[in-house]
Amino acid sequence: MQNKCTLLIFILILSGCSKNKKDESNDLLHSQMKIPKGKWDIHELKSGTKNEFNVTTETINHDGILFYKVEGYADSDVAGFLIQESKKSPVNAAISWLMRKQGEFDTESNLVIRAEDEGLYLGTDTNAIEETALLRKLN
Amino acid sequence: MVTIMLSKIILLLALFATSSLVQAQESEWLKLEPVSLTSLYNGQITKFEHDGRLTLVYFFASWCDTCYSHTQILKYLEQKYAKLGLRVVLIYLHEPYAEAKRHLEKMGFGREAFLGNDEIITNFRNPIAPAIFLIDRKGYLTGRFTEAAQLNDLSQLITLSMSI
Repeated sequence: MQNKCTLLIFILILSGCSKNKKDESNDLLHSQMKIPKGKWDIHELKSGTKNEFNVTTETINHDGILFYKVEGYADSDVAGFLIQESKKSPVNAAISWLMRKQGEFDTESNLVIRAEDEGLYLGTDTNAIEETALLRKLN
Repeated sequence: MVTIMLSKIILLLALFATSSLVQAQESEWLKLEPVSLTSLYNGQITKFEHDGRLTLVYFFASWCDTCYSHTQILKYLEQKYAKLGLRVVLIYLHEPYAEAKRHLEKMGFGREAFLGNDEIITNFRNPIAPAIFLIDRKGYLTGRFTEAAQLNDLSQLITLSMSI
C-alpha cells in the first residue's frame, strides 16, 4: 500500500511538471524507443546473469524524460528506468536506473540504450562497454 | 507516519537528482568508424572498418610486459572461434614499424595486424596496452578488457554474442 501511494505521488507530480509541454522529438523517441508493458528478460552478457522484471507503467513524461516503472526486479519495492532522447541519434538514448531495495536506494546514471531486432541493448558507462545487457520482451 | 513521509520525500529527491544527471550528460554507444592504418603484412595504408563480423581489437606493444596473458588468451580465442566467424585485429601502440613487424613474425598469429595511429587511439578513447575491445556484429563496442582477471568474462561475452 505504501509503495502504491509513493508511486501515485510520483505520477501526480511528474504529470503536473510535464503538463502543456509538447516536444516533437519526444514523440520520435516514444515511437522508436517505447518499452512495452509486460514481462521482460534482462541478460547481462559479460556475467551471464539473467533476471526478469515487469514493466507496469509505460511512460510518465517529465520535461522530456520518460519514466518506466518496473516491478519484480531483484526484490526491489520501487524500480524504474529514466530515459531521455539523445540529441545525436533517436536510437541512442541516455538512461538512468533507479531502484529502492530494503529502504536503500541504488541509482546508476550514464547508461545507454539502443533498439535492435533482437531486443534492446543496455550499456553501462559513457563508453557503453563496462557491461552490456540485452533486454528481451517475454510473451 | 513520519517515516512514511520521509521515505516519500527521499524517493522524490532521488528521482529528481537522477533526472538532473540524465539531462546534464550525453551518453552514446561507440561505433567502430573506418580508419586508415598501416598494415604490418605489406606496409600499405589499408582501411580498417567493420565488416559485419564479431571483432576483437587488441591494443598492445612488443615492449609491453603485462600483455602476455592477453596475447595468450587472444591466440586461444582466435583458434577456437575463427571458424565461427570471429575476427581478431591486432593494433600495435607507440611502436616503430620495423619493431612491430619483427614482433608479429616472432609471435606467429594474427591475420590482420596494423600500426596504431592517433586516429584509432582517439576513436577508442585512448587505450593503454594491453586492452581488448569487443565489437558486435552491428559495429558497436560492447566490451572492454584491460585486466587479466577479466579475461574469463571475455570468453563468456563472445559465446553469448555469437548465440544472439
